[in-house]
Parts: sequence; C-alpha cells; structure tokens
Amino acid sequence: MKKEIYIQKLDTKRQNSFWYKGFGEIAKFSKDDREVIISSCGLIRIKFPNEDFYRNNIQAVDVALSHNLYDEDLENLEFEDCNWFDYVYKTSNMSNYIEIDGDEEFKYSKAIKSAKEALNDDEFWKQFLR
Amino acid sequence: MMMSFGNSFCVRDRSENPFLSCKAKKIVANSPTQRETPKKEDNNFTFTYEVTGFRCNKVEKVYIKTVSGNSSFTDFLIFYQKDEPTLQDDPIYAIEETKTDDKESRNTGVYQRCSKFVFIESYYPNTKKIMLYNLQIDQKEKPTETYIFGTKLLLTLGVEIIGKKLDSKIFTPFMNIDEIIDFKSKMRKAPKGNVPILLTKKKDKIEVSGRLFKSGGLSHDPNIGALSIISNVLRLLGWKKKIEITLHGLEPRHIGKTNKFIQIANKLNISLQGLKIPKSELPIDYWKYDKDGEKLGTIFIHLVVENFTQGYSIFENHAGSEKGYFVTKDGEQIPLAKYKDKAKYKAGAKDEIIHIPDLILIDFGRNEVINIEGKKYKFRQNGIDELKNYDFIEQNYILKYYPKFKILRTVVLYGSQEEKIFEIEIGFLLNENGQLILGVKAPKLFQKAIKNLLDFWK
Repeated sequence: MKKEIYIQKLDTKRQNSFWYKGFGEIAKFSKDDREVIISSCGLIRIKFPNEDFYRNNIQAVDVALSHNLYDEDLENLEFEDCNWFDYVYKTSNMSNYIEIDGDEEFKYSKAIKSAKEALNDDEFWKQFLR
Repeated sequence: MMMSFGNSFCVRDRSENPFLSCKAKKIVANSPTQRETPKKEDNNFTFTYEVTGFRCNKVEKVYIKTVSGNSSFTDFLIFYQKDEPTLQDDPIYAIEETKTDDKESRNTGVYQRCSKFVFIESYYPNTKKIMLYNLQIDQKEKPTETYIFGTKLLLTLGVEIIGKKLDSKIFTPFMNIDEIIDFKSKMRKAPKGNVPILLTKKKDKIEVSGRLFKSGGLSHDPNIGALSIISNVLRLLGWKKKIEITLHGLEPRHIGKTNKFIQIANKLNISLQGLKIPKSELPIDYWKYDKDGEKLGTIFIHLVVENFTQGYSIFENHAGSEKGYFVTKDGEQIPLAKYKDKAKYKAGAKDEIIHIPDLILIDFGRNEVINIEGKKYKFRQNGIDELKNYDFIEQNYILKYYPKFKILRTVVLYGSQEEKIFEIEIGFLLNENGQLILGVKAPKLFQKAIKNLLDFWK
C-alpha cells in the first residue's frame, strides 16, 4: 500500500474534522489499481458562548483556536452546520474519481483508518466493475 | 409575486460578505458600474444600502438590508414591493449561493444545503427557491451519482438551479416515489462498516436508513440534509403514511427540541426508529433585521471607503462573514497563515497564533495601510487591547507586500447612543441611531469617506 499524507494530524486533541476546514485533500492511499483520497468537506456554522451570531468556516476555526479550544470543547458549542471528512475512489480503468453517500467520517485518525480498510474491501470495489 | 411600485429589496444573511457576488448581482441588476451606497434619513444612516448604477424598466430602486436568520437561513431573500419587507411579506426568491473551490468541492455538500430549502418551505411555500452555483472550478464532464440524485431531489422540491449546466435528459424531477427508491438502490454503496442511505417501502411505512449520530449528538452533516430532503420529497409526492429513519445511531439523550432535524421531523412527521421524537416547533420568525452586530460598523466603513474614496480593502474578515484572502500590490490573493511557528504552537506555545484584523484598508494616495478591529461599543476596550497584537501580520505580510506604506491601527465600533468618542484609538463609531461619529484621530481615509458621503447625501 502506498500512502501520501498531505495534511498531518494537527494535534491528538484536535482530530475533529472541524480543525481541518479549508485544507481540502488530506491524504491519498493506493494499492494495486485502487485509489482512495480523503478530503475535508462541508460548511461550518457555529455560535460561540457570549456571541449572538454565527461564525462560519475558517473564521470559526480561527476563533476556536484563539480561544484555545480542543475537540472536547466543541461539544459545548452550538453547531448549525458541521463539516466532515469525505472520500473519493478510483480504479485504473476509471477516468474520474467517484464519491459515494454514507461514508463520511469526523475524526482524523478514524478517517485514515477507514481509507486503509476501504482499500482492502474487495466486495466494495466490485461495484466499480459495472 | 408581490408587486407595487417596482422597488426591490434584497435582504442578505449577515454571514454573507458585504458585496453581492457577480452572479447574485445579476439577479438584482446587471451593470458593471453598480454600487451599494448607504441610504440616509436626516443625515443618519438608515441601515439600508441602495444599489445604484443600473437601469431596469421593471425595477426602479434596489435596496439591500442585512438580516440574521434564526436557523437554516438561505443566503438571500428578494422582495419586490414598495415598502421595507416585514416577516409577513413573501419574498419572490430565496437564494442559496454555493461557492466552491478546488479543495472542497465534493458533491455530498449539496445535501448540507438541502435542509435550508426544506426549512424555508415551511415559512414561505410560495417563494421561488434558487440554488446559485458560483463556481470557481471547471465543471466535471460527467456528473456523479450523488450529484444527480441530490439535484433531482432539489428539482422535485421546486428548486431552480442556476450557474451549472444541467443535461435536461438526466436532470429531471422525480415523478413518483418508486423512482426515488429505485434510483437510490442502484447507486454505489459505501465500504463495509458504513450505513448507506437506502429507502425501503413497506405496506405501512417507508424506512430510510442513515446515520444521524455524530460527536455526542444529532449533528451528522450531510445526512441531516439528505434525510430531510428525501422525506420532504416523499411527502410532496403523496406519501402520507409513516416515514421512519433507521440505523441512525441516536439515543434519547441526543434528541433536543431545538435541533434542526427534530424541527423538520416534527414538520414532516418523520419518526426515528426506537425513539420518541419530542414535540418541537420551528422558530416563529424566519429572519430579523440585524441591528446589533459589530459587523455593522466595519461593513459600513468598508463600503463607504470603497464607494466614496480611492481606497479599498486588501483583506476582510468581518465578524460572522467568510474570511477573505490578503491581496498583494500585484493583485495576487494569498491566504494568511494561522500560526507564526506551527511546531512551537503544537509544542504548547499558544501565543504562536497570529492575530488578524477584521478589515485592512489601503489608502494609496497617502501611502497608508489601516488595520481595523471591529467591536460593539460596549466591548471597545477589548478592541483597543487587540490592536496591540498586529505586529506579526504587519511585519510578515503588510510590510512585505506594501514595503513603503505607513501602517495605522484603529478600532471601528457599532452600537450605543453615544455621540462622541473619547478614546484616541477609536477611528469611527456607527451608533444605533445611524449617526456617523469620527474619532479625534480617525485615519484621513475615514475622514474623506465620511465627508464625501455627507456631500453625496446633500
């Protein structure tokens, strides 16, 4: 298996996809003719304590960093929209990467682990033969 | 459509940047000379901007007001009427704008926005719903299954798609429930260990599988949007029996009355397998005029400087808006770093975070760059304190890209009934009455902008 990590884990206490907003592609894994790419996707809309408005996307992350927050602190914030880690898949006979519903992850280490597992899921890859 | 004397109001979510995007501009007007100028009453700002520099036979005036939404609020509401909109007025358009870039442009994102259209359907069922794609990347030649499915759901809900080429043979509304179930069942499934979104029609109910649990609660985007729009479309196509979400992963403690999915579930009569959904009402008001945000001050000075002087913004990060890029003298847009030294930060040095202003304006005539911190009046001391933290951005960005420029730091405030500013660090105050108050040491660019605005108002 070949792995290319574009964005390293920021911090063991900052593994939520929230912190990876704006980074785009996080890592690429390949094995034989199979490829999986992990990306940070989706929008963030969040209300911080003592503020009466929502902050969005990278600004929300900047403010959370300036308040020195970690994953466990995010659970106390009011989220209207959350981002996630998503995957695209490709085999050598495909010209484009394919995305699939229902495979989202929210934690960095879990996202990496799931990508590796997906590479070995033969049943899953059979779908790409059609 | 409400018609009277041909005035058009656009109310925009406060999370939107102060200027309409090019394509959104084309909805309200279509002119390269278009401007947004503050509207006055007795020399006070009315918190309304008038769009000028266009001509349209059916629209005499266009006004823009900033609002805040209580929940899943679309980016723009367009009203066509003489008077300022109220909650009771029906907008003619509700517009959700999608800006994608090459880094984060997966199509699953379409689901996240779907819940906004489901929400507005409850408040303004007669309003035309629009998904506006403001794409900065090339469109893929072959649309993915996810994109086709999501778009067909939107079309079935009556959402018009603007800004993307759609093959009319592929992108058609679903005509019946079986067609949705069949389409979804033929889509590729996620690797093992995941919960696929699948619809199963039974005699007394339709089951929709999909995970909703995430990080200790009901916050699984994009599934909240996907399951919301699927359920809404099932109702629209006539399904009156039970709709049950299965394999959601939730426990009773995860279900709160104010959660947007619970509100939608109440509205559409969706049930969660094994759980009792609490009674929950949608917020009474879909939107309200924004009259208390610090952003009102920084947006005002931003627009007045750009419209009434030669100065302009080289970076914007208005509270609650999208963070922009830093614009160099050559016009290149670069992202600002988050940390001075990432390794040191990771090792525990929390002061390695870079402090950035809310707005950076440039005054080419005087060779000045103005770093602006926006705050509400009552938090003005925090704003003054924050000015001390701009050394890094000035040394590493401003002086690097604008080497011969003098740098000023100032605070811009919104709020209170105050008519005077005493602190020399404060450059401008827009008070709650719309009065424009310059600080004793306000940057010359501010002084010029306000003078020219007042002359314009005469």
